[in-house]
Amino acid sequence: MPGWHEATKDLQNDGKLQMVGIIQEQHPDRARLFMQWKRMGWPILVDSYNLLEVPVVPITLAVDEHGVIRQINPPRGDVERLERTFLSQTFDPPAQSTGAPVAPDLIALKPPARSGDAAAWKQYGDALAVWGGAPRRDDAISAYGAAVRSDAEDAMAQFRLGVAFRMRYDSDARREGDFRAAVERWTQALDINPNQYIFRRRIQQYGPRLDKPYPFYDWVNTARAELEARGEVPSPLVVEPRGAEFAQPARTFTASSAPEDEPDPRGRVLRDEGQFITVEIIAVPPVIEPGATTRFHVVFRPVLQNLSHWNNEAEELAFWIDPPRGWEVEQRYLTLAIPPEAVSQETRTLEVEVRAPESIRFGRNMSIPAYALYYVCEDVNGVCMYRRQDVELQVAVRRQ
Amino acid sequence: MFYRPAMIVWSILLTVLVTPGAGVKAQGRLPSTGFEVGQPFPAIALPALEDGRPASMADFKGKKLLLHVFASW
Repeated sequence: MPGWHEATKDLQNDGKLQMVGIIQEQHPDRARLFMQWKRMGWPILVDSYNLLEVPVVPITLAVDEHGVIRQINPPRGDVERLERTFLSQTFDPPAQSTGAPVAPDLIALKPPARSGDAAAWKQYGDALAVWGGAPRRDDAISAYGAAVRSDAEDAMAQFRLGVAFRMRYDSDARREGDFRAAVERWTQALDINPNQYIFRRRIQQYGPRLDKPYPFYDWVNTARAELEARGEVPSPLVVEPRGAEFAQPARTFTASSAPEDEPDPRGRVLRDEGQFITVEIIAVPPVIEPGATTRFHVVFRPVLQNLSHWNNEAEELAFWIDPPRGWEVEQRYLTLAIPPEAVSQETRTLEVEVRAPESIRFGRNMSIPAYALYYVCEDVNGVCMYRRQDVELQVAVRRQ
Repeated sequence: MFYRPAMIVWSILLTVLVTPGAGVKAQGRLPSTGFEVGQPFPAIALPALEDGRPASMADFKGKKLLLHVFASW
């Protein structure tokens, strides 16, 4: 796309060609940074829920002055051909012209409460999700939920429900289980329609390195550095990419071979049962085949209502995984860097990949024992302590 | 026993047709874009990235567009 932009700059400046973009990303603000970085100032429309139902990106369309598609994926950067076959042509208007679409009427679209009309619920969900914004996100989730209850085979409704869950997860209205629900819905959508690359990419964005076609957001740091060098302030991101979103693809799974000492082998450290820190664990994908990998996202949050907070004056948070025989782990012992301030209340996330044994013959739900060790304080000026929390990394293993 | 060429061709065709995904794999194709040449671009309003207001291709009527459906990754 930047190639097309560069190649058609003169045509754009002369008013002979208008560039327009439609972004198919969970986090559209990242596209804003991308556009700034690439000095592309043309209009962008946001389609995170894939209302266009495109199966793949990128797609380039030559659309004439009447709004009719004249070319699909013209040869990349071939401006001479584009001028000859498209820009210099005059096209007839279509027999029937449609008016300009407008944002839908949310009240008129609402189906009756007991309606089992899946299409109507999906349409209502679309309207709420796209035009209701954050205040109506719960309603959008309810509407998409009604759609998939009426028609569980509607892959697009499943996908959009997942998008809405992940959007809520990334907001202040987050509820426990939102990220897991998003991944489960995307997985279900992909099971129904495995040829839908937008579904696949949404899972791969957060998934293991073996399943990645490319690093998704490795360009972000480069973009920021180059923008700052240009004297520009990089467009801010609502949600910072992290972990899997930066990870490079891999062709083989590499388990750490370095000897690692278990930090609390006798289990003597006093337990936090979740009264100070809650731990949420999401496997992406949640179901794998024997021999495949999944990426666990382990999310630690201080319990804010108890005024719990991290104590950063001691050691960093440590995480130990004890995989069953035949299972491989990238690293059994992981640590998380701690911020410079003495105390803090931020969410901390670590990610680790695990590979199932090839030898698993029958489907099974696997729980891999693990535990975290951290310094946490109760209340303001309260007691600080060293605590352990036992957790399980859960993934289902099934042959497709 | 011998096979007529037509039988062999039908046999291969049937194998391709009844094997899930075989056609796609054999041709190495990506899914189609979902768009068709000669058809109007879907009349759908989407929020503009700049300000969240409803926008559509109708806003650009009278102009020739190069429209990119894309992601920054």
